[in-house]
Amino acid sequence: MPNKDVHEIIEKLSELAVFTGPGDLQELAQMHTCIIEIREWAKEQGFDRTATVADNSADLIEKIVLQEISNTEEALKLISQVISSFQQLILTNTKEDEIVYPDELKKKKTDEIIIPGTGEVIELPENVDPDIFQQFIQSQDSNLEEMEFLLLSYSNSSDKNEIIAELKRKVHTLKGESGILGLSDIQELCHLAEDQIEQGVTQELIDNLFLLKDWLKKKFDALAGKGIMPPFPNDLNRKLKKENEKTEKYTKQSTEFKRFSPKELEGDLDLVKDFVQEATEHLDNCDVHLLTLETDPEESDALNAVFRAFHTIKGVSGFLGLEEIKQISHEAENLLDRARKKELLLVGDAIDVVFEAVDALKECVEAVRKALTTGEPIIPRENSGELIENIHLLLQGKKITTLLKDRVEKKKAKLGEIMLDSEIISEDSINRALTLQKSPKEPVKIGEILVKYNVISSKQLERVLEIQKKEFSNKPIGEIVVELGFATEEEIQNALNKQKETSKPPKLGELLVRTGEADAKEVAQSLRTQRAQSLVPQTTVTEAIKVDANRLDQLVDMIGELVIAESMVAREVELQGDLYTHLSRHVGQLDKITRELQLMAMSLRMIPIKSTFQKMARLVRDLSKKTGKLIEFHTAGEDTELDKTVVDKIGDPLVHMVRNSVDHGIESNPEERIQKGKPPVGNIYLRAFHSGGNIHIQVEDDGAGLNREAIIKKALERGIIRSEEGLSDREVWNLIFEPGFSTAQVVTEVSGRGVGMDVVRKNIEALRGQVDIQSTPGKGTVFTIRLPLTLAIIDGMVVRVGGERYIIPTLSIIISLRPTEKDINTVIGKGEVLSFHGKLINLYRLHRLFDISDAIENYIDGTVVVVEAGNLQVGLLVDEILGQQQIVIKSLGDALKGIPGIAGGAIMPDGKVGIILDIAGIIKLAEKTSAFV
Amino acid sequence: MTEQEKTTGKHDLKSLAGKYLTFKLSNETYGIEILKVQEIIGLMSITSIPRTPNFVRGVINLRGKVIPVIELRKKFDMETVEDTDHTCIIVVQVMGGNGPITMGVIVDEVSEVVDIAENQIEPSPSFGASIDTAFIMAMGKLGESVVILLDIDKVLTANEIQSLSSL
Repeated sequence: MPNKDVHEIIEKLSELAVFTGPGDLQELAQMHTCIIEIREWAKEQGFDRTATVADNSADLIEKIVLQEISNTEEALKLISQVISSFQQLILTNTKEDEIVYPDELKKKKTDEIIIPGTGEVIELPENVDPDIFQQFIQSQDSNLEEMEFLLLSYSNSSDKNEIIAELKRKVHTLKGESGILGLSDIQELCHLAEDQIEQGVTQELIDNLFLLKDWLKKKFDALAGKGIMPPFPNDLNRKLKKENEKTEKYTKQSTEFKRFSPKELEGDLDLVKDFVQEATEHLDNCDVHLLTLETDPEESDALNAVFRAFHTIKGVSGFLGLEEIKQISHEAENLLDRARKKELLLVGDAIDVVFEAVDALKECVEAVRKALTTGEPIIPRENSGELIENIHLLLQGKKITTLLKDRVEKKKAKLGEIMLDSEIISEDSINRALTLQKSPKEPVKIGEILVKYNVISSKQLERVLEIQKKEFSNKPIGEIVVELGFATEEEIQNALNKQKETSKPPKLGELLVRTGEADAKEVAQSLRTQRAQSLVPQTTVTEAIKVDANRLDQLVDMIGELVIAESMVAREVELQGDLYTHLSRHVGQLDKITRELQLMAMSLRMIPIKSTFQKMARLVRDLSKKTGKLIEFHTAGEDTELDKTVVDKIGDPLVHMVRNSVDHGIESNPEERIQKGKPPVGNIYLRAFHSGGNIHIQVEDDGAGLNREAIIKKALERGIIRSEEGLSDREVWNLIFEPGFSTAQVVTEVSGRGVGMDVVRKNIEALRGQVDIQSTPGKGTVFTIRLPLTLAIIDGMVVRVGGERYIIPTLSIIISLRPTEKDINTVIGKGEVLSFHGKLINLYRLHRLFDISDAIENYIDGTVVVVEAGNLQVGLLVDEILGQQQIVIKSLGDALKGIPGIAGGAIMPDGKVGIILDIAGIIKLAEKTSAFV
Repeated sequence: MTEQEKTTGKHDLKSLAGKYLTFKLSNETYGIEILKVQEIIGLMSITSIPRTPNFVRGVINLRGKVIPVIELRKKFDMETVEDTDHTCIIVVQVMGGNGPITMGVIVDEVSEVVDIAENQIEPSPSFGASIDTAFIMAMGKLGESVVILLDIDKVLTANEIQSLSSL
């Protein structure tokens, strides 16, 4: 539209605006046309804001004409305001950003479709003239009363049609007005009600309208400042929708997905709580079975197990009114049912969608859990509707496009090994076949593929190749093809995928048959064996009783006490010597029983780490999809048991470490791996095992390894180290745990690691564990986490200072020594330092820090325990070391927490309380009070 | 009692009637609401905790639970004496910031449980600013003798120990 025309339009419009009153229908209609024209112009010019405002203004005029709003004067004022803003924009060349539009009309139309009732307590809806609003609210009381009267008289009235017409008018007016005033929830419900009335009035509808009236009453009262804002009536909304859906369901296309509205928890909250717990367990189980199904889609036990899980969840959630969960599980159940009846194979999209459903349900359950604790409505997931629709599509046998495709393969026993075992072929033949398989095969050229599948002609290919040679020697052929318009990007992508497939090494079985080493039948048999072996062995389910964790802890405490009491008795008996032979025999028996009891008590809190490992399997699967890297994930020792707290808390650091291994460890380019003589598919191993009284958890990858130079460079830059001289590999690797490294882009780009590693170390240290790194460039990296068996027990060194006993955690002790005079130097006559391994470390007297009399004053007469916290080492003077023992840690309780230098208490074998020192705290304390030391 | 405490900490004297465990400190008799008392134990070996206020004697092992023990004499700034055979620990539950806290209170001697009726209760006396009586709920008259009824929650709040210990 030429600018001149716009000028004319705006001039006409401003004239109209001055003269038009609410009753001048013709003028209003002209204004409407003009504004629409301005809207079109604004769209052309890319003035989005203006277009929206114009659109809204046109709507407003329409409403004035149709007398849908009561306060037409106000509305007209608003419109003339807008028109002068338009004038400014069009006539004065002001930038669109600088134009001020009335807030009421700024809202985009789509914004109005706010999910209703998101729980916000609105005093006054935004962008609404308070006067209009007030008037509206005030008039509603009588309006609703009339509505109720109409509803009541409906059933015994002779002229039903008139009543219906009146009702409809009321609902319609209400809808219009609430829409203008930004009360989108009222608008939506009235809209639904209106539709329903139109479709014919039933008794059910009348009931619903009563409900609507009741809710409106509450809502308006709340808006008027009387009473509490009622939550959005989801039930009512559903009921009103249901009827509409019957007619709309089939016309609606899949482009618009169902959205779930937030929902208040209802029913017995205890039941909901139980449901949350149960559902979580079911879903966790699902993951295992789905991984089985992924390798063998027809494994009926796993299939049935998943089906049962969904079925149970569906049933209970339906009962509890958890609509979103119910629908997702219902749809998934349908899908699985088809699979059970062998009408559908759970591969590709189908299994992906089930995985997605499990994830979605987990999120939903989590939302319910949150709602339980906060008491707020359940917040629905955003794309549940989409998921449900996807399952629908699958059930109808259609393809889903929104889902990703690649899969992660589960580890299988090697085919060769199986055939060897069953003596089908000799080792020689296998080796021959394997070398053949490994020998690099030239990948099929992309151009050839394109020609073969008739995407481009061979002439076009020649031209492309020429261009590539001439101009852009590095540009991939695919890009050039797309640029020349010979093929779409999608087609190129397909071709690339095909290229990848064909360049994969041929299967061993095929080779064996082709070279005549084995016949096809034998290979097929072995393949079956392979499949059978790779199935997850059936786990026997032992019966379990759920016990409150607090009770369990109490029990463990009491048993600990019993052990101590028993040992006191035993010692007493021992002291009496041979006097009571019978008694000592009985006490011996008691001793045995108590020890067993103690062991059992310890094991009560222990659970296998399996669940955490499963989550990692899932993580690797998702990550490899996301990054496009081919990764095989191997776990070992899932049955290793750890303290429940440890299992819960180890998840986070493991996620970081596994993510790092996938992201930075495994090379992104399979070629790179092949060059280094590694299989193209990356491997990540997750292991758990016992060793030396500790539990070890290892994350290993066969990727690029840590880059020493890059780490040192980064550390120098950040000032963490001063020079790289004398740094052992281990020290260099440990640098990545420094907090500064966590955000370091540089290192990650150079394939070093770093993201979140300080978090890893902190979490693990909080569990009283340690992390170690071993890395070989080009070969891979191993992270080893060492954890104590249980959280409650630590190894401690018992020391004496004067008349007091203290426990120093063995983990923080480096060495204890008896210094000679020449080892100790004073600084400025006060501070003392000890030369230790060529370094000077500060010395502190524990008894002065803790104000204990009658302790040894001189370092030479006592023992110095060299301890470490963070990277700082200090020497502490104690009188003597009494011994080492395992100690059950007890908190000192709320009253005494946070005392500097003290980590907690412990019950010593003699029944007294021992104090466990917090080394980091002591060093801090010593530095603060060093004047006295 | 300060002006503020008069308005906020004033106890309804009638509601104070009930059973009290009485004990002795020096020659004074004190009472603790029986419902606050968990048990009475003999003196056992107490592990002292460094860097805590002087009235915190230390911690004991109460059947596997570590609880702090405070010395009421020191808390009330009374003259300290050697422990005797009668010295014992009253284990009480006081309200802390994060729920109930179990702690032990060392007293010279536990006497008996008495029933104090409404008409035996008198408001706590005021000594001006010189003596802090915030933790005295009221005075009970038992014949000739007088029982000082302690508000054990106020005698030692967890905050007090913590704030002192972090000095």
